Amino acid sequence: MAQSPANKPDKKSAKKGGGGVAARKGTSDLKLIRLASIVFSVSLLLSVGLVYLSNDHMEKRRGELGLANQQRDESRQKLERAHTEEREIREYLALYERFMKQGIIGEEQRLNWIEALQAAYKVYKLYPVDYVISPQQTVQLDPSINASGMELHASQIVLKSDLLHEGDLINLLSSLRKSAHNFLAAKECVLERQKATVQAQLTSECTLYWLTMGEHKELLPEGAIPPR
Amino acid sequence: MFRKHLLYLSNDHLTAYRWDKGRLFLVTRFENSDDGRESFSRFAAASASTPIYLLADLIEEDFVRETVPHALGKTRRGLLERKLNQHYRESAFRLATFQGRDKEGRRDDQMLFSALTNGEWVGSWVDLLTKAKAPLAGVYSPALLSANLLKKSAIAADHLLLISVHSCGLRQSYLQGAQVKFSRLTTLASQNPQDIATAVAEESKKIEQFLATSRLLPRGRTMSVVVLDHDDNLPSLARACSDTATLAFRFIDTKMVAQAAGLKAFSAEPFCDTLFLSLLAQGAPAAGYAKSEQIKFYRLWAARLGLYGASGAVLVAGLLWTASNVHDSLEFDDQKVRADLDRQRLDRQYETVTGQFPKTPTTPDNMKTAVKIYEAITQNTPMPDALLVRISRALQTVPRVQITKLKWVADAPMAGAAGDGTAPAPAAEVPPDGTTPPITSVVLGIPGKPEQQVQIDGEISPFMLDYRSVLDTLEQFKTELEKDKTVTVTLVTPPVDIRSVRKITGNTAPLGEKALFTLKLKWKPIP
Repeated sequence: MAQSPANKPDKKSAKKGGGGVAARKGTSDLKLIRLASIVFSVSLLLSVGLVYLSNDHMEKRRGELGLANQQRDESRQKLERAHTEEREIREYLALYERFMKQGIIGEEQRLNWIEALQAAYKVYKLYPVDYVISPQQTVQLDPSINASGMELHASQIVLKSDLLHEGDLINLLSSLRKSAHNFLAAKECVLERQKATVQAQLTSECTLYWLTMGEHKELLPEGAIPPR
Repeated sequence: MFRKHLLYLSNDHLTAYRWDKGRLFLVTRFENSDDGRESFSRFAAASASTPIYLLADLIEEDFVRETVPHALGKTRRGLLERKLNQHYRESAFRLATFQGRDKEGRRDDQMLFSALTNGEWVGSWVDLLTKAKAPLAGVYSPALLSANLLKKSAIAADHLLLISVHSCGLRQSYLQGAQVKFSRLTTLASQNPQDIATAVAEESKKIEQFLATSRLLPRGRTMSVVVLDHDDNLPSLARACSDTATLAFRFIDTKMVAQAAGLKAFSAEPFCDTLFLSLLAQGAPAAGYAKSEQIKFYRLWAARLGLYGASGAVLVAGLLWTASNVHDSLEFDDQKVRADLDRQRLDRQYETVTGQFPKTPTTPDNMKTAVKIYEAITQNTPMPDALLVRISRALQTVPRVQITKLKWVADAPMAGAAGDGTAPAPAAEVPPDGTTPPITSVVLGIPGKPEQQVQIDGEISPFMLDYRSVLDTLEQFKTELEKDKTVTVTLVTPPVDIRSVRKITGNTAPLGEKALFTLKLKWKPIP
């Protein structure tokens, strides 16, 4: 339906023949497609508007769904944690309460320890034992232990004593360990033979750590009296 | 397809047809009179929304073949315009058709210039259409449609004369291959089949002579003459037209041609007028005689149609998209309701579970940590008992060895024990401010059992200056200790250093000499 290029209107004659008339005619002719243009514009606007509004509505619903899913997942994780805590409470509560009763958890009971030392001295008929208990320190826990809110405390104890034989030292350490419910660690021990003229054959000097646990809190300053 | 109006313009009247659903219907005939033109104006005004195709089947159609220099764009347009002005200055309905290029020389363009030379006659009808703002799609002629007809009905020959019997005369179009080179319309004195057949025979010979004279048809070359007419007239045509050395006749029923051309609903008429009109309705040629300004209302009509179509498409697309969004929104709503119900159920379960928790002195995490620390300490913490027992057993086996000093240390090299050639490990780091160094859990058994070391200072007695015996005894003691594969023993200071690099001093008389030594044990407990 396209016509030959040679058949295009003569531009020169159009200019000479009155451009104004041609322009008016052109404008008049365009009225034939005015309604169609308006219909198209309205359709376009309507479609774009509908799509925009419905898309906006859908995105809001998508966002709300995402939030609801997130909240549901959080609730599920919370429930899973509760189940885990329930299992852990069932598993660890009795032991924890026993530790509290035994003094492993809580404030250090230094009098108990001195009494335990005196008891061992009497039971095993040891030579007098000199002791020095240093101020309590917080142990730097290895990162492999998830300390949570717990701390491990240690008080360094140095024991000096003459011994009849090395068995006395073993008995003394065994007795102290029992009193401390095995929550005791040795750092260093030195045994030295005495001159034959002395009745006691050996001298000993041992450095031990008396251990306790507690929830994380500030340590008491040196010299302060702990609450009882 | 859309409804179309087709106008058949002969030299004395105009006939209007309507093309609807693949069929052609006669509407009316407009005579060349004031009444006829007035009627036509009304028809045109009523056709504002129907495209109009005008088929001008006129005697006054002229063809000129000419080569022009090959050019492009504006130059080409200017050149063709000049040529058209040169040949058909008086006609407004003219056309330049490109038909190939010369194979030699400058390879000029082979053009066919044609025109409806009775422009006033055609223009008078076209002006009425323009005045009524009717959408005239184009002005065509049977000659311009001939190539389409032959192509669609699969009729082909290098030199072909297509003769069709029309209501206004005998149309003869000469084609080379698929290109029209010349066409003419001869009026018929009578529409009697016998007379028509005679006219076909005579006109064929005249055309042959004309083509030969104008060098379009090479001498001696046979030209195919295809005659289209109603089936009833074919026998008389066959009788009148005999093949010659240069003319080979073929008579074809118009209905068969129409069917071959894809016009399935074509109804046979006495003349070929409707065949060409149907062909035009089915698909107009790429170029026609109408000027651009004469078909502007058709363009506006097409634009309007396009806009309405686009409006519909945009609206449908928008509605479909919106429907999809609404569907997705409803789906999301449904999923959200389910997620909310799930969350509420989980929250209720959580309340139930936590409501049954016993009262605890601390958090479950703290309790777990306390138990783990306790277990690690009680299982891994170092005590000297085990090593002392091992050493006691070894001493019972080798009674000549007497220990003077024993130092047990957990997880730290022996201070001043550099005699084994290894560099001494640093002692516990003392902070620069002199405060007590921090205690690390490694020495307490967290995370694993620490290494233990014992330094033994001892004496082998009796000595009696028997170095060989002393060394044997010391070796025996060392062997006893090393029976435990986890223990390694290093002799730090031997009773006598017999290595060649050292100096030995002594006295052969037993004057209080002692066989003193220092050993170091390392024990790595099995985790």
